[in-house]
Amino acid sequence: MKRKLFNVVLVIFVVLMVASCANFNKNSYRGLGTMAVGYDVAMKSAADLHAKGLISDAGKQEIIKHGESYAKGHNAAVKAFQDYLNAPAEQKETMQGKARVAMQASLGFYSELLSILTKYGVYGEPVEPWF
Amino acid sequence: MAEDKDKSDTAELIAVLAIVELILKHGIPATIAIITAWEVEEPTAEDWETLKVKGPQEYFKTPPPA
Repeated sequence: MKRKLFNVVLVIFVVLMVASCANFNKNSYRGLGTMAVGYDVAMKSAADLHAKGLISDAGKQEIIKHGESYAKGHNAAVKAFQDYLNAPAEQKETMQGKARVAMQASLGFYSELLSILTKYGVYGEPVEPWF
Repeated sequence: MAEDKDKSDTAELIAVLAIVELILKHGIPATIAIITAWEVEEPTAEDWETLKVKGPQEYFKTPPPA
């Protein structure tokens, strides 16, 4: 159940990817924005579990390694979208293609990170009390 | 007309349930962040800048002793 909910972000992203080319910028922003929040919550949760001794140092290193890949891929996708928005009209199509490739790569890294996090029992619950 | 209203009510209910589920599972701050991202209609380069994430090692830094 928890795993299913944790993967909601992926489903949302895929739906947005195929939803509409006309709203490419907006839908991509929503997808990457949702992934960024999922990453933030999951990493806070992982750090909390490590501090409590529920994740080993080896586990922490594995999470950091995959988290690094995702963070780099995500930020590269964000940069690609900024370049796309700032590109002159004649380069828009090329830059859109590059942004799309960067976004797909980011999704791949996110998927790998999720599988590592679930391996260590991180499902993305909030660390801080929210009520 | 009534059918449209039914569809609209159903969509609203689904949205409310999705938001409640997000709050229960990820907390209020994360839910607000997701909703904020979804409310941007025409993201600018500055909007995109806010989506950048920090490195994972930042999360594992030991807090300084009080």
